[in-house]
Amino acid sequence: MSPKTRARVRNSGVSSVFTAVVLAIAVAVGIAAVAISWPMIKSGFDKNTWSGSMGLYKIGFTYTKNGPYAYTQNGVSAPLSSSPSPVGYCLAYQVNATTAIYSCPSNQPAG
Amino acid sequence: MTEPIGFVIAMVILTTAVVIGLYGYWAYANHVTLQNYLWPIAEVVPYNGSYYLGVVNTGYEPFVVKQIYLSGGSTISVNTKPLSHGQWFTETTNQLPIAVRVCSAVEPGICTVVPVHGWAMAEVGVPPDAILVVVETTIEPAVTINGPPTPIGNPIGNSIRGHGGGPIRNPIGNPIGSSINATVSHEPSNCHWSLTWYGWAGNSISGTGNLTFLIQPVYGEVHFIPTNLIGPIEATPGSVVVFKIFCT
Repeated sequence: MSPKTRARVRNSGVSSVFTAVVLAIAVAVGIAAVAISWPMIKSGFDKNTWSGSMGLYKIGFTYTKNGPYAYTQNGVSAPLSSSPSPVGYCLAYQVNATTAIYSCPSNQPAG
Repeated sequence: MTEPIGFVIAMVILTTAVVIGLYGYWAYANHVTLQNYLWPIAEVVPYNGSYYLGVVNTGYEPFVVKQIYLSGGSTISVNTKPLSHGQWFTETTNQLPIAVRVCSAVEPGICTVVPVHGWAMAEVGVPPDAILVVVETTIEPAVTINGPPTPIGNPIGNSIRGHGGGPIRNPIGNPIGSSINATVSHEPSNCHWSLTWYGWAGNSISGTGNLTFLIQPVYGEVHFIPTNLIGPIEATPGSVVVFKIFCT
């Protein structure tokens, strides 16, 4: 085998190894990218679910022997007081005998 | 000999670039992930001439409230303790707060700005309309009540019949509420009448003779459904209403 032919064969071997390594790195990068991306993608879905549930989060009012009560969707209830107090994820208080003011996640933004 | 060295150098450069790139992406993904799990909710209600702001952590990633943005364009800097799930931060402001900025308690550089939800008004259900107390079962056309009476026994939810011996008087020390003095007059014989009122303490009363009774509403209006009676369908506390028996 002539020196030229030997060099061609050796170059061809190096090129094959290079291609194999690049391919291996590409596969590893792909796997790593998916592994890194998955928590981020899931967090995006979780945030959308949370936003949707907050958009529907409302408060209700009722009357009991102990006076007016406020209750929310996640099962939280509390007597209405005359100053703003948390009820679940809402703020509410009683203005007069029959009226309450409240702010909840489903309300429109202020301002 | 030169080709293997060049190959190794190329591999080192490529691997370094890939590692740096992956690390940058990993840092970015971590940032976005943590930011996506900051779940603050901000509410505001008007109160005593100012605004009462509340911020609650509805998620499980602790955060601190850093800034409150006001409608006038100014901001209030605050630095709360880390709020865990369900914990509130409250503040009173003179201007309407429109947004708040919260930052992760774990990575203070990761922040998010959320709008403040406004307020609305609601009726507090159906008030306990009335407590009915029979104060007189004589045929007198009207009975003068010497002081608002109150039911005997459980004062809420139970109607108490009097015993025909005169008005039931308000015991000393009992709270006195607004009242409605209702009189059923003009007794026809054998005419059955009834009066129903509704609400949380709704009830009814019926009879065949004259009756004067007191309805003691705590709040709001009293709504009536009369049978064989002519009278109003509603009344407010403190007013006097008269029902007449009407039988055909």
